[in-house]
Amino acid sequence: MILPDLLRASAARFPDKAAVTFPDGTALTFNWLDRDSDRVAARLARLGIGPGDRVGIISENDPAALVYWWGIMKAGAQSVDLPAQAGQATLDGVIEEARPKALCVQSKLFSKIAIRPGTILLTTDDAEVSASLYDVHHLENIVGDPTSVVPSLSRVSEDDVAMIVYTSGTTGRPKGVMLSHRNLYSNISAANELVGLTSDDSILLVVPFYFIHGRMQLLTHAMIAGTLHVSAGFQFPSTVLDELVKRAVTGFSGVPYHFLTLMERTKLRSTPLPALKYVLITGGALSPSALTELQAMIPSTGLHTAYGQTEASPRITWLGPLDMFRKLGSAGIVLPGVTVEITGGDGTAVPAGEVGEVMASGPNIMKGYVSGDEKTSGRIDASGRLATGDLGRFDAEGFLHLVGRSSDMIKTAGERVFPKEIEDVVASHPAVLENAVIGVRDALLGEKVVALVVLREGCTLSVKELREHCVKSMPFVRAPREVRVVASFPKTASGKINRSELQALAQ
Amino acid sequence: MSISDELIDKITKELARAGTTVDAETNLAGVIDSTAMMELVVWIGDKWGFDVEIDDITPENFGSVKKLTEYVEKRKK
Repeated sequence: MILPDLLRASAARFPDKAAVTFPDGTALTFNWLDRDSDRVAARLARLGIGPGDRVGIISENDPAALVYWWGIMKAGAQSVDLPAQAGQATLDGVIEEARPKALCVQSKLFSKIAIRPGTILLTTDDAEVSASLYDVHHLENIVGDPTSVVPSLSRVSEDDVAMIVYTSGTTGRPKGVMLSHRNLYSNISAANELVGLTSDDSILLVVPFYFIHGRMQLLTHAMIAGTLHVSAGFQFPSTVLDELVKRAVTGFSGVPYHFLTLMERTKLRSTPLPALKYVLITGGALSPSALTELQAMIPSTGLHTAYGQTEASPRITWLGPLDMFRKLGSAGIVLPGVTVEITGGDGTAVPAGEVGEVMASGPNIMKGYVSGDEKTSGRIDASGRLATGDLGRFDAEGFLHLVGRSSDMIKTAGERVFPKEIEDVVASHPAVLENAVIGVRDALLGEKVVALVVLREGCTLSVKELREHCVKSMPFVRAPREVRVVASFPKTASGKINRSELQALAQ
Repeated sequence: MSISDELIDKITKELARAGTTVDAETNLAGVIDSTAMMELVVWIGDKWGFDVEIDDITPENFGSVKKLTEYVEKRKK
């Protein structure tokens, strides 16, 4: 099974059913999406793009970008999701590393990246692009080409890379996670063994396509032939609640921040949602009290939580409604086909019930990073296990309980943030002598990014000034929410900032 | 500074993506994320001295600087 087979099968079963709808009313049927993406694949093949090649996508949630994404996979090539929210330097670094043979770019994002002259450009709309500078292909022209010959996928295997998703890395540079057809298919089918979605199901999507969360929902709904409704976004939480009502979706998934926002800033409690069969909380844990309150607000809806990370395609464990309150606070049971071991510092398993690092293996674990350092960085050990960086233990019934992280990662509003990427930017502010970025518990965001700074003599720094400095090179959600000026940092014997001590002081 | 200018200043310098141009008509949902929108809601309340009601955080009131200016003028104390 390769991923384009999912779309083809659903298009054969339900040609005229809406596969994806957009807030502006655009609806792509399965047949439409299948036919147009075939023509994209044909064009890419004609351009010499096929297995082993990469095609970058930089776009917000847009129908054309979705057609391209399927078309790239149907050409046997690898899609590279560029994080549209990132700053230009980050995006340029990603393009430099991934070296895509073509770029699919939404015209409003043209200015965000440096595009080399001669690049094959796949545009999502009919905006004017210099044909003398680039090899430009408009989607309208591609899908209107009746001479298209769809390439055979016989040379593509399940173990070939299907897509690359960029996610935060410990070094401050995003990591390109390479996921194969097998990685992704194994994960969505294993998860669906537990949830049992069918073609009667539908979902409201509130995250960008280019997050693993977005791609996973697109693939899941292509597999089950369910409709995915793209939300207008969480900027207006009440609008999201309206969408849940009007679309009458059976499912909704989001990060804890989304649920807390719906709970605190909308009339969720008094809004009947009779169609909503399940919600899936992912990208972090809701507190036991918030889960209890959420269930009270939507009493007929089953609560599910999933734990995982992009490198695991992304799910590792699952907790469903039957166990949610019996095992409150647990990350759930291990997904079918996945193995989780809890190990000590030497990499060997710790006795049952003891805390150690969560190590995951199975068909869902990534092929590797684009940078090729998955082993030297310790993310994949000699046995092929993914070191998650999370600390946990199993209880007697095999439910995983997460107790912390072995890395310094911060999770804020569902975003994975590593201090180094923020610290490098903070350090470039002229008033800053030394800094450390940590996550501090926050009721809405999960953790908020806090910058602790030692200032240069005679300098001052307000949170406003630092924020203005930071948002030049990162999205707002990652920028420090708070600045605390300190006289000095606690240091380890080797002179490094003692993060655990700092963390304890800051909380 | 006028309310409109203050809003544009706050949004472009602190909340929007780098390099984003914001004028009175720009669709704000297209240039700031949901956490920034919440920050804007709190900032407006503090700055002009009123509580922004949940029901007020809509595209009709917060969809653009123009709409937001009208909303602030109506609500400020």
